[in-house]
Amino acid sequence: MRLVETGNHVAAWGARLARVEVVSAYPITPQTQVIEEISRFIDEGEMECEYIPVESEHSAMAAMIAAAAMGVRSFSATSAHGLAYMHELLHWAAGIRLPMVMVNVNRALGPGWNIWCDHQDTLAARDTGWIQLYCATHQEILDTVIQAFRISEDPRVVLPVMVCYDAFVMSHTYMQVEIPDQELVDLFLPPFRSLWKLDLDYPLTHGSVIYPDDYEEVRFSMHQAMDNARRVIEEVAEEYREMLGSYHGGLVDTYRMEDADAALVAMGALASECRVVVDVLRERGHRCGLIRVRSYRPFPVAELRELLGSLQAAMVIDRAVSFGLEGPLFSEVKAAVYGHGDLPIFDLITGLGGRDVPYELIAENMEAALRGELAAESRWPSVRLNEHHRLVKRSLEEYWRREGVR
Amino acid sequence: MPRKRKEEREDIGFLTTLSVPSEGSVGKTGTWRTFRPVLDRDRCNKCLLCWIYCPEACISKDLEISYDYCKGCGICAEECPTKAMSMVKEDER
Ligand code: SF4
Ligand code: SF4
Repeated sequence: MRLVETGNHVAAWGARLARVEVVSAYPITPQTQVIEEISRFIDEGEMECEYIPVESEHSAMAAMIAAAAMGVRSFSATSAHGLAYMHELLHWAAGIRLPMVMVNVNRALGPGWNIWCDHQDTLAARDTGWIQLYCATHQEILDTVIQAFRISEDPRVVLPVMVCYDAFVMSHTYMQVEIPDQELVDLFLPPFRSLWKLDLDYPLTHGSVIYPDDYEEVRFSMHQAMDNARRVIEEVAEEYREMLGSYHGGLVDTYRMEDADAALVAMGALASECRVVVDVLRERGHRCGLIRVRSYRPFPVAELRELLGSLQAAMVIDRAVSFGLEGPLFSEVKAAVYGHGDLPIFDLITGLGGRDVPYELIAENMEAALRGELAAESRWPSVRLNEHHRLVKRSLEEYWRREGVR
Repeated sequence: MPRKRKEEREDIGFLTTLSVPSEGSVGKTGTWRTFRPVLDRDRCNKCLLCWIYCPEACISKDLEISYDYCKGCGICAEECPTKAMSMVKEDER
């Protein structure tokens, strides 16, 4: 079946096809349509699922943990402040090793209520033990939600998975999507069998005191599970291609990298736009390719080493910032290739809070980098003072003058 | 500088922060007690409220009290409808 749908509704379709049994979520722009659509599916009897309405994201994740601890396939969706609010429980879900899938529609964090896209929200949740997968098309959202359950529930992994896609650019735009047959999805994704659950016949509990003598091994086990997830993500993507037809890459997705001597590295919808940049740059005589990071955790270390090792230059596009350092993706790409090649790596921090990033901006900067005109560090190519900033500054200066603030 | 081989670490497999019920996993909590519950079997009507209420599962269905783990909280005595269970100071037994 072919539908023309919003990214959010497509995510809801993913949950429906995955035969999710419990959904607990709190509405937040730009995620709201995901759970609206799921509510409709449930109300119209198209989904056999318990929807748990809650008063906050903290409770939403608590209910998800409870459901998953009962061995039930669970799904949630959130965004920005919602993700920040449930941050503590993200650690709990991953730490007690519960499979579950949550969609996060990437949105900027306040203050300054900004509902538009950047990646600061999920990158700030980097070290919670959640696998993070970033999508670049609507079809990829659907397929990744389904794949995410397989990855999350795989006995070699058993970690929660976050499926991330960009606010508005993807969440609210309509694109054509192929909805696979339920029977095929059922074959690909069998019912959930939990490695542990709350069961009267085998009583146990989770999350009580853990002594210094026991703790490190539990964290190491999570780290190894993330390592295992590298292989599992690749396998699951391959199997999905064989059974259901579509493929969006494994840990990374590449474009025109075969003969490239320079590369752009990006995540999410901006990575789609970078394909245009690659084509434009090639027309201008630069052999440029694109590496799209699909899996941010686990990070595609070996893939980046292999792809970047022999290149002459790379430019990372960061839609977030690690204050006091640089773009977070930039840091990690550099860390991955450390000791495996000596190419200069450049970084653009841009597109924060939904700022439009025209492809020409990236192309110009890449050309300047290739001409040797840029330093290999983070740049903010789209920052400029506008009339609104100046108005606020003028009014503050007036206040400072009046109050004698120096 | 010569490169060191990456240390091979044992795969420790699936490990999580679960706890399974086991006797006295934090030691003999009976030493915490100031008052001990003492049962007067003549007054007891075997309603088993004490057995249900004891938060430490120290009272068996035969109304044997495990003094190794009883913390002396007094809940059993509080709940007992016949006053068959009473709390006695440890040094006054
Ligand atoms: S005093 Fe408390 S711990 Fe001891 S038997 Fe009574 S209820 Fe249980
Ligand atoms: S609660 Fe009192 S009466 Fe009931 S079983 Fe226990 S000791 Fe006996």
